[in-house]
Amino acid sequence: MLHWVSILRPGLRSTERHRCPTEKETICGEDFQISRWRLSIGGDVQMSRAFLVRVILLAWPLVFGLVGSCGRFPGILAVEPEEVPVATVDAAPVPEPIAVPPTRTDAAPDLMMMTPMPPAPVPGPTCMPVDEACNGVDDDCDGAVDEGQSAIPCPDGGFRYCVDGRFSECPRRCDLCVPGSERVCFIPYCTYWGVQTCAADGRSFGFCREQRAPRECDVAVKNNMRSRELEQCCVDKGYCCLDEFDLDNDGDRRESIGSCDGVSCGL
Amino acid sequence: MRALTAVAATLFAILSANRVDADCDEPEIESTIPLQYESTLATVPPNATLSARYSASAVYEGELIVLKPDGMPPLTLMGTFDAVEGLLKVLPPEGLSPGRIYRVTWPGLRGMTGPRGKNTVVDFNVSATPDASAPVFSGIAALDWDWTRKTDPCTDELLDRYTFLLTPGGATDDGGVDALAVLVFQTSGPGIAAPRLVHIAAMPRVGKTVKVPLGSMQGVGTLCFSALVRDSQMRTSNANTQPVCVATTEAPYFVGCGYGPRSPKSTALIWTGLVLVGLSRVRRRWV
Repeated sequence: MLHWVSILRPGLRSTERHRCPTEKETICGEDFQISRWRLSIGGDVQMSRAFLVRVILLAWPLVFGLVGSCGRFPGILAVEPEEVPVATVDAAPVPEPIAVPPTRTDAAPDLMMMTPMPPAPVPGPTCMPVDEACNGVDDDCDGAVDEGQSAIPCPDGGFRYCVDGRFSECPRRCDLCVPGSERVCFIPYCTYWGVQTCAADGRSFGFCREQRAPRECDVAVKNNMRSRELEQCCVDKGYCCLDEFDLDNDGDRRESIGSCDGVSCGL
Repeated sequence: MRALTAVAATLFAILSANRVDADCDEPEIESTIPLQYESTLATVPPNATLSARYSASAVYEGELIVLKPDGMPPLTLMGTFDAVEGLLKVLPPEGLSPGRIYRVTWPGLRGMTGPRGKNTVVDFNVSATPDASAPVFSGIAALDWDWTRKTDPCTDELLDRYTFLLTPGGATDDGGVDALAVLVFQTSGPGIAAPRLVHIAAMPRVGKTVKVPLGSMQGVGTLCFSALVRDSQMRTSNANTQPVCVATTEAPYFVGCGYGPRSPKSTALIWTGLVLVGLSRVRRRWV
């Protein structure tokens, strides 16, 4: 009796078919070890237990049609749909029903889809070398990704670097504000006007400390208190102001607007 | 005698109050390449560009960098300053002599709104092998984080910061690792659309970490970091390093609404009041 098995060996890109060996046989130069957990059906059919369970659970209607198969554990066993059917040469008696169509069946794709095994590598398209770009892909087919990407100089200084398949943004002098600089903020009581100072590391402003509003904004304070109009006055009179009322309609109420040359980050 | 002591205490209180303001925006040198080590000297290749990184507000006005070879007269050199990276660089015109020990003095720079910072002195050795090829770096090996809370000298308030502790993986370079800089990028997190350079520091020695501070807004959530190394010729390592991520939580600090930290001026007033009370008691005894 001759059985055919499918064995995918590491390094091979396609599934090879081999005759199910005896314990003494060698395939492809390697000793072929049959699993210790093997079952004999009819005295000459050997199956690995794992494979048998898989087959019974996932494709039990075909189980009775399988004549036999065998597994090998350190390699990857992959049963491709086309190869599930096992050719038999002799006419050994097999349990009913016997018939296993020699071509792809409807059940075979399900078996493949549900089997919790690593997918068999399918020979993909041949790598077509092009110039390496910063995209997280091995464009020039040399096995390295994004290698040799030069840093791009930024107009204000610093560089953009290729990181994780993308070029970084141009660096900024500070995160949020120039250390020690001040901007106008608005408080909900008394003077409605305040000042906040940028922290020494430039990463945040301090609390808004109450101050008397400048004379030119007295009218806005009296008429509108803490309001959009007061912020507009702040901007119009040449201060750097917290955009609490989103005068520029960009949805950012934490940014600074107005005359912020010495306050905001940048050169 | 007591009166003199009281006056001295008053002066000290007033001066210490002013000192807080003076520290605000005084640019400090955050890192140098090479670093000054306590036990051994760093070694750089003979064609190395030396550099120092200043804090954000530093302004370069042509201050000279002093390079003194051991046993020879010092050289005064003009550097080039990249204000965005805060990096002051100098390339010795004749190169560095292999086997010789040098001392470089980095000048303190003035802040945009503050006083001049302090000088920093670094001693280093020079190897025989020039730096000719790009470094190789395996990326970030480990990442941890913590909160810090310090009184800020500019705002005189307690400010919360996240500190991310990155342990760089192995790095090699033909010019030696002491001349390498680590460039840390934040690749994801609040407000991050493209990788953002968040920190530059000298490559620490094995087992040491790089501290990356972020503001309380930028540091909360799931953040990912990636890193490159850059050699003294400004060549960077391969870009294909895996980012490392960490999830942070908001700091558990509560900002009270009634009383803030005592201001320096109020400290001075309290000292002055105490001294006046003491003086009045002394006067009563004398009378």
